[in-house]
Amino acid sequence: MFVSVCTLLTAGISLAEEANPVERVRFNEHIRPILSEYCFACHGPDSGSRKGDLRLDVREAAVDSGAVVEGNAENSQLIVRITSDDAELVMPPPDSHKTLKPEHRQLLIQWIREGAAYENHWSFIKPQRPQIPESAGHDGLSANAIDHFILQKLDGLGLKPTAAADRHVLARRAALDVTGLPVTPDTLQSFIGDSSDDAWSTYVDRLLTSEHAGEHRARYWLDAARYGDTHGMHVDNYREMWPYRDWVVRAFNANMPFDRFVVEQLAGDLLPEPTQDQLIATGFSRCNITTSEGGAIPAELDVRYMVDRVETTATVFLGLTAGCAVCHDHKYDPISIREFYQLGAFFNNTTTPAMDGNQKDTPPVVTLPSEEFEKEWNDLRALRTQLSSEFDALSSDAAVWWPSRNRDLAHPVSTDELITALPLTDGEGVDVALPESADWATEHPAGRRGIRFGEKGQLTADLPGLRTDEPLSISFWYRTPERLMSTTVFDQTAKTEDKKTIGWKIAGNTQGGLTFEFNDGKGKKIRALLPGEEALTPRSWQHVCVRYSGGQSNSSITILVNGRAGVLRNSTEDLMGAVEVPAGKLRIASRLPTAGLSDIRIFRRWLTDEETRLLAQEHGLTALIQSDRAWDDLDEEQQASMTSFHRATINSDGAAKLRQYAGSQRRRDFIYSRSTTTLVIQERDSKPRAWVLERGEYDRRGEEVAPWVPDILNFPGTAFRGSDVEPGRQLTNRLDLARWLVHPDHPLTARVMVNRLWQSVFGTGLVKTSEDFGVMGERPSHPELLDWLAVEFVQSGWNVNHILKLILTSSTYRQSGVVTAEILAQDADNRYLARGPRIRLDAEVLRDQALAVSGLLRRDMGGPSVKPYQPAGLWKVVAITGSNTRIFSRDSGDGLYRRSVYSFWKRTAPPPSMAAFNAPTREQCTVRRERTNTPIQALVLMNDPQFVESARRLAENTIRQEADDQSRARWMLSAVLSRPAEAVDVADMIAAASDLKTMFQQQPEAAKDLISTGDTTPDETLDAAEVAAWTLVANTLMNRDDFVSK
Amino acid sequence: MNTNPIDQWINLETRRQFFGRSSKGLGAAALAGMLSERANAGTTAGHIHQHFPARAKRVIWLFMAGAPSHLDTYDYKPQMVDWYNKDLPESVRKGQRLTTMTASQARFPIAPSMFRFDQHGDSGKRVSELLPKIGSMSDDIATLHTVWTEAINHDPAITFIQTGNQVPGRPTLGAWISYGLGSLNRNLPEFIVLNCEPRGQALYSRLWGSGFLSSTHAGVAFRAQGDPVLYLSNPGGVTQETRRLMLDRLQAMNHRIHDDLGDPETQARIAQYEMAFRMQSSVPDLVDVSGEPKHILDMYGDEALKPGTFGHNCLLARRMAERDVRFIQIFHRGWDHHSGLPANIRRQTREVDQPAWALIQDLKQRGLLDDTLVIWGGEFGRTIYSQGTLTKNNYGRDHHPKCYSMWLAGGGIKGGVTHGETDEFGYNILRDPVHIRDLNATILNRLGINHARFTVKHRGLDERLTGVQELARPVSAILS
Repeated sequence: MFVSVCTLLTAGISLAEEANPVERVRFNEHIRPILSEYCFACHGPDSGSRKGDLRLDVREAAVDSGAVVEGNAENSQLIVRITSDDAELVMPPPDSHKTLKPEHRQLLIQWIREGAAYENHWSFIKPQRPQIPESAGHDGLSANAIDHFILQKLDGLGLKPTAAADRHVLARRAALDVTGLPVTPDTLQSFIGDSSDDAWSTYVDRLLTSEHAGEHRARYWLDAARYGDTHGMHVDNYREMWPYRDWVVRAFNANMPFDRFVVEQLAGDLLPEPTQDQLIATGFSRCNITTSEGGAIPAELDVRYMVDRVETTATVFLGLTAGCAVCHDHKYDPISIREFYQLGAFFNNTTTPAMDGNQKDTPPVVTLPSEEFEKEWNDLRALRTQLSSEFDALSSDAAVWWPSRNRDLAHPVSTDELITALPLTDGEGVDVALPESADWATEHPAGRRGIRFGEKGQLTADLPGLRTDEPLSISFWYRTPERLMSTTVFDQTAKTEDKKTIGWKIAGNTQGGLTFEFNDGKGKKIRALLPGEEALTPRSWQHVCVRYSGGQSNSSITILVNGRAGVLRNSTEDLMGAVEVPAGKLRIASRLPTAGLSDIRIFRRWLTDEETRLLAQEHGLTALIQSDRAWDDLDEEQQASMTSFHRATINSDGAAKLRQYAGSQRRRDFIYSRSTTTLVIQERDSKPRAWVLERGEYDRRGEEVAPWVPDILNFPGTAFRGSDVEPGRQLTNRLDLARWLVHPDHPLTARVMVNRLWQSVFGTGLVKTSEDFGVMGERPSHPELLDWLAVEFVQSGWNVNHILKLILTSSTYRQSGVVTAEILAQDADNRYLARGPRIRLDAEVLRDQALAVSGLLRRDMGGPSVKPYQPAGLWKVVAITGSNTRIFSRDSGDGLYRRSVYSFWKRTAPPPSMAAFNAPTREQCTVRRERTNTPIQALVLMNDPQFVESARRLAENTIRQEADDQSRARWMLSAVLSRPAEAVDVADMIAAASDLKTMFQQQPEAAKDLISTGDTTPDETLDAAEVAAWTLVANTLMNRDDFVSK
Repeated sequence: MNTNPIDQWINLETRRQFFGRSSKGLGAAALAGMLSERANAGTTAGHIHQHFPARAKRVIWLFMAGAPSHLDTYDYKPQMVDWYNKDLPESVRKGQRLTTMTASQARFPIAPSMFRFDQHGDSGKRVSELLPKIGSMSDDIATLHTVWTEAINHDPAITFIQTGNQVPGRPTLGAWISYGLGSLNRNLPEFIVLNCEPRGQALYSRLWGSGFLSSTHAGVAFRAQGDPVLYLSNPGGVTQETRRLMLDRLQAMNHRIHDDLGDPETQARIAQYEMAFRMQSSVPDLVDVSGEPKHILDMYGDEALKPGTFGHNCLLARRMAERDVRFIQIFHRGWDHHSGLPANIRRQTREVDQPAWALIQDLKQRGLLDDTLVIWGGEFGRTIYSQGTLTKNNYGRDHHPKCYSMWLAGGGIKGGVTHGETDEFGYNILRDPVHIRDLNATILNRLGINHARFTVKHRGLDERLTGVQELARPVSAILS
């Protein structure tokens, strides 16, 4: 019996040993693992790779084909083929390099003889609350249901549970498991001093309600959500996302019901009147890595991001490896390629752009202004919403106005604050002399308008002065040149007395894009780049409008092409001062060969979108207005454009609203650029859909599919009904997906989450492959316990802390971690829990623990990510020139001592001391960290300045706290390990301190060197040699196996 | 009395009862390695048995990040002179997808290489004047002209060639080899990365990552500034002797913890601390080139003594090869020449030519080239047509994934061979395509590994470096 269990552990699949024939063969337990491993690759769910038109994963198909003849093994082709001697016939075929073991054949034969019953895969069947087993002979050992299940299994294995651990050890273990921090001396004392029966329960409650518990729990979630502080690809610039991280911390601290937690993250934006927090939560689906690499193809990126979102959602909530179905039907799990893209359709209808613009705030974002601006921001938003809707609601009396219109239209928008208008049109009162080698353009949409520039040529015009904190709109027609080059199109710049540039310019570049730049003459500038490949049509005329609202920031700039706003690349939010730009010359095209320009209009106000569109449509509008046609003769489109013109320009009410709206833009942009933002998801109005992509290639679109869930999970009782669940809603969307995931009868969501909670405490989940509950995943070590916990989780109202408390208050958890020879021989990996969990602490916990025991830890919560110590040059050595995360500048002061959950995560070069302890890069979803034991880890703990500084601070505290070596040793060890010291350790420490002190007294420079490690200054009132000696003693303790482990 | 603290410790430790219980995982392997230090090299075993005899024990990959122009280095296209500033015929381009950087260009004017291609050696191989030294060893080198990839931009392409997949998350070639073959030297990592001066396109730590393999197989990036290996140095004021004293106390405590709790992980940790201590000597010894004679330093060129340069890194690579580091990868950056290619590529090749030559010569004279596989190349090629300004002496080239050149030399590689042929434009492959998966299959083959049988079960799939579908083939024509 036990031997077979061992096989289960090491091979990851359960196969009964030959010596141990099973009484009755069970499909899920015995047969499916064999078929999955040896047969399904060619005879499974994937229709694309299926050979011989045979599938064995569906009983009907297996029987129809004659592969399986119920009760008759000899006539079953399956058996004939697996027992054949003929190399041509035998299965699996020799070139698969896979060979069935004799016991596999035995099992298959027995299974067919017993009737060849199939079962649905265990995890696709809704969990039922199992009967809690009796655990006879363990009176008083079971604290709760968990223990009964554990003891039942131990009995079966002939293993005995271990006695409870020492109370100090337990207190430390639980504090690390719940809060990720060592227990504070106060909390420890109150527990140790509490002799009541429910002392443990009280203690666990106290931990669970600590605000640090949410930080610790969030850290696991952030691995799963692949949260990071940079985009993760190519330029890998800063991405502002930390409000999402703080939302996760707050949600866990509030013990938010997990169903709500899921719904808000997957579909918070689709909830009725979502709160700001519910929008922030949708950042979950924006955490994926993104790029803006020049040359990348947006359609390809869109597919990649969609695939990542489906894979992440499937792994985190369903525990399924959906990614296998990107290119073909899943080879093992019943998820077809079509179903994969149906899942993809849920995520395929958002406003998120493919290119992240290398900017921190790739839209859509939620803006979180500082307190100073919060009221103004909210007022502005309300005002602008109101103005927009009032403007939209204005009744159109264009038809009434039409007969009386003024046909002499000079400008399609109000000329308020129009400071320059240069038509640059041949014959139309030529306002400029044509420069050498330039010529009048002929192919302009409006005829012989505009100038085509040759190799040389410059025009100038006088411009009045302006201010950098006032709005500016520049409207012009631009013909992109044949030869792309970096060149100024036109500018109004000058040099200040100290040779700094002041003023603005519009420039082209070799990629065919346009840049607007504004210098404040004091060395600061703002800038926006419109990448050519995305917005500008090569070699043709188009209307461009550059708008600057006066908000003194990059994001105060918009560039519209033909009335449509382009996605700009403003990698960093730069700010500039408010200054006066003196009157001067507008210099046009000092070097602009083959490009064309016409109709330059410069306004000292911010043009609204409506006005910009009218300018772009000017020539059509003019022609229409000058025509003699009656209103009724205009077609629908013409009437619409006239209505829009009338409303924005002629109707004084409309024009006033637009002016008011435009007037609010400056403050809006000013505040925006000085606010925190966080990436969120926003649904588009269109119908969610996706295409089945042949072999997963973005440009090989097949069938169009609507959002839906995989058939296998579309089980009775929770049949997915899409938008039907909500009256009046037409389209199936992410909200339906989210609600379906947390349907009480869903077979996977609760199991997957309780399994991860279990994993976070015991180191290994009940299902070891916590990312894969599918056919190829490992079966649970305690299936009934997993189901019991899953049902309990749902019935408790998806109460995360309730499950954690059940686990922590179980006797199973409270066992000592001592490993006996017997346990080691039978259950080396502690899957059956005959002993308590004793595992190496995670990277973040190790660092936080060192900071905490030394008193360095800053316990403030939330806010922008911090940059604690890391060796110099690690970012620079990988980063591209121009990346704003190329130079690592570490924080000083408090930023060095915050909890690791707040450490800045650059995904192409994550914090090295974290990576050494298996922290993931956060490039993709991780639900299970590896736990290695390496020499690099030893080097980190011995030599990393943050650990050395912690040791020194602890040494100083110790010396100040106690007067003699004996007391110091005791005090220090208690501080580090939260328990009283043992005599032998104390003796060792005293001897070490004494030897080292003598040594450092002889080498005062060495002592000084050692204690100067870190940013905090050493306590000069203490003897340096003494501090140095105790620093190394502390360093020794902080490398002890029982400090590194829980 | 032997005063070397390492030897003292080892003598002491071997007397202790280390194998009271069987440990597991890496810990046990490291432990076994430690105890057998004097008996054999004390290496960790790999996870697979070689499928056939290996022709190379170790690999040095000189990675040219940013993608060098094959047209200005190895793929000689003399006919292009007549095509100067003429449009690339549509019949050649065949509507192939372009990066969005040049997709909007009005024309695709051909830019012939402005560099002379000289013939070298018995093979008569023509190599650009930019690489005279490398050219001079053409008879030792197998040049591939028809390497190709699907990825068209740097991030996905470099991720693809390093991991066999464009999407991040898979193990790199070096990690696969570390996993499969284990180490030959127990005091140094199996997979070491040497980065050159930051310039041009980005790198990512995933390029030497272990993906779904254990992170013990990830490459260790040696650094040019500060500690060569992160956190290697003791804090200020702590000598190696002091560290030894501290470690003795620590290990005594850890032994007591083990006595009390019996956890094999504690034993493994004790062994890892010893390994760390040994690395504190072995790594500085490795990177200390002060003992290299002048004539050797001269071979590697002006920058041989300057950390972070390609020349210095080639010298370090040789020292690592001597110490049996399994997989060494040097990343030389700055090859992304969209504009101003002639000036830029001159600088790049000047940095690379002599040290790469020196590395091969040095390995050869030490008898190491026979079982060291050396590879040179980048993530894709560049277009025959110019991006941006085109004059006779100035042009740029966009990304070109459809064909490019690489070379291999050393363990099990036929010298003086040129494999594959591209069309007269260096745009399409005429014969013998080598997908980057084939290249990886070739590398594994020389190490004694059949790529098709080198699988790791991950999320239910038998994952391969060369992809789950068995498409890759080693390039047999260049194997000796």
